[in-house]
Amino acid sequence: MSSNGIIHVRIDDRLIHGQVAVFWCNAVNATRIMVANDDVAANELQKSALRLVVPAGLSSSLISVDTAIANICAGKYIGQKVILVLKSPLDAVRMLRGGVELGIVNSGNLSVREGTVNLKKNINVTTAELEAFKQLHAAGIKLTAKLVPDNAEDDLMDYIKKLE
Amino acid sequence: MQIALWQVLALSLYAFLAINDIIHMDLGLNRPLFAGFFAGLVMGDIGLGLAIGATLQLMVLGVATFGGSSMPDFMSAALIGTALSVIANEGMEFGIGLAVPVGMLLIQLDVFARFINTFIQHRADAYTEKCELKKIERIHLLGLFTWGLSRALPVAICLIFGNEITQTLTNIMPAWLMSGLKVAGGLLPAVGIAILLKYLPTKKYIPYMLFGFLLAAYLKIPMLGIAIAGVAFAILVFGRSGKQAAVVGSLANEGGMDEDE
Amino acid sequence: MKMSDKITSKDLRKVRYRWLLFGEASWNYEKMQGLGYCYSMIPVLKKLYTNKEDMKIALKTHNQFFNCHQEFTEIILGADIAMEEKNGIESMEAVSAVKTGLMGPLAGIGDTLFGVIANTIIFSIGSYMALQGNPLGIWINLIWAAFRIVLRGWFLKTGYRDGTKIVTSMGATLNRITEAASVLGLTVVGALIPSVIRANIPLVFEAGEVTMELQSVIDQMMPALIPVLLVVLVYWLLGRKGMSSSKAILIVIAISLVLGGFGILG
Repeated sequence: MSSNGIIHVRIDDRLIHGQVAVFWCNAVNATRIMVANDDVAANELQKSALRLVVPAGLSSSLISVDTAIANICAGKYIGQKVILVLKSPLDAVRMLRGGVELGIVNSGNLSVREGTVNLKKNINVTTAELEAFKQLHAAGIKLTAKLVPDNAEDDLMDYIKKLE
Repeated sequence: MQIALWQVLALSLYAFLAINDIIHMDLGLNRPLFAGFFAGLVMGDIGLGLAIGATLQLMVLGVATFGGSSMPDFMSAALIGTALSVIANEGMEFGIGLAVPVGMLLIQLDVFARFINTFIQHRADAYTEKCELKKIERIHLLGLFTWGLSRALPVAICLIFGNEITQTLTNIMPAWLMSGLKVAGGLLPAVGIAILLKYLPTKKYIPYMLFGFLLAAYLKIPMLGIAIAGVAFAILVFGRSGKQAAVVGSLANEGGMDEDE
Repeated sequence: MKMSDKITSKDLRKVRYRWLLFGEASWNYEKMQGLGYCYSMIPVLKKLYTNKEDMKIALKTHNQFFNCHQEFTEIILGADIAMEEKNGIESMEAVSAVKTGLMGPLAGIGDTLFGVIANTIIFSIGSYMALQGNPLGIWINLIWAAFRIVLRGWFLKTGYRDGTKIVTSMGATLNRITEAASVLGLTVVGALIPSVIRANIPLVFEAGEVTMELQSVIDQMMPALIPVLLVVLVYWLLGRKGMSSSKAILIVIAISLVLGGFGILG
């Protein structure tokens, strides 16, 4: 699908957990799972916890957003099948601005926090996150909202439009 | 036969406890296999209960409510299917034919129960503002009833009207449907197995699956024996991964491609 | 303000049983296990925060969104209690960070290892035996359940004693256990295919003197050929867009009704 090695982009504020580890890696035949997040990259505990969930046989990248941008643009993952996991659409916008080709961005879970608005069952966004999604859409990126590969194709923009 | 009140109560109570079991200790009560066994015990036909429970169980091997998703309620379905089969004096195909659609419809009740608990959450939010600890505890525990009733009520209703339901069904069910359902009972485990193969690292370890198939299909080795073979393979793989980890460890320091930091 | 050793093993036990028996009672789509986590922590909060303002902060922190595999949550609870016992209300931000950081990965490992793999193995064997009229599978599962309950107590104690170090030390080994267990699971599942799928073709061909049972011809080619083909078919179906497990079940039932009705399968 993508020439830079990224075959699936997922936004999930719980990063890698049951659903991602089990379903998506099998469904897309991933060879590498990448978490691009500044907090995680700086936190040894988080990194070891995440390494726990990387399915056996997959390589992992637990790096900051900037490192991810640099690596992807340098072609480090060409030929691989990378699932890119981001904590927030804000990070997706950063990657887009950094020159990374994202293709389709799927949203998994965004939990209820202070100031969030409910878009869809598992997806709750702050004003900033809503803006970020709109920016991604404006850049031509398709936004889906599939919790598990089994689910029907669900366009996130439909839910965003319903809000207005 | 007429279902007795104690049987209705026993099965409804079981359903109430079973759902609260799987979200906590998970002793196994909520598994279709257990439910089928219990229903068979209560209704006086353990073999039937086991057969229905096992078939339903095979359809949800490895399926679970990951991250709060919902799945078919084959526990309640096993209770209802077994009980109504005994009432109607029918065989396993009747039970399965009933249980599968019922289990799938009951997904909605699971969603509903989880949704109703939102009201509990909002009450609790208010109590935290005032630090009313006892009230928080009480409202939280109320959830046990949302869960419990979401399973116990449908079971109770189906059992209380069991005679009417089975009468209607036996009257309208043509013979070809019954034989079709018998076939379905034999084929449906394939769905559970296929779903499972999507969750497990099948492509990576397909040789082991082939070997298990070989042992069962050609050599007719019983399941426990195959489990032993599986354990042997597991030990081999575990040992091998230990050696691999040591190698990768030394490579990573040299900037190997495997791990990115 | 530092707290001294106020938390006794009795307190830990209270937390343990609250979570073990009632932790998910109030599960809802908004905060999932959040309230349950808060409920479980109350015995500890009562000991540590006698000041109402502190208690309010603590309650609000713990009443936040939480979702993890229920059997691995004890690790987080233990580490959390240790942190709060040491630094009281000042630790709240760090506690929040640990909860959010660990809940995802621990859910992942718990769902995969305990949820998918372990249950596959136990209930494959259990269902197989049950179809032969033997309820042994129920006992195997009860033993596994007993083990898990004990394990969870150990998680709480170790999380409390060693903090989050348990995650770092468990790490690589858990991955290897998961991999090995997957292999066991797949072996058993491979054996399930010819054992629990019943697809018999009762067609008999007669040509003059010769009668030929179609099923035995197929069996000559490969035993359990039809079950294998069926699994391959459903597996392929599940990969198609718009297909769901529920739809696959309905399709198989439809196939059964058609083929059963025509006597092709029976």
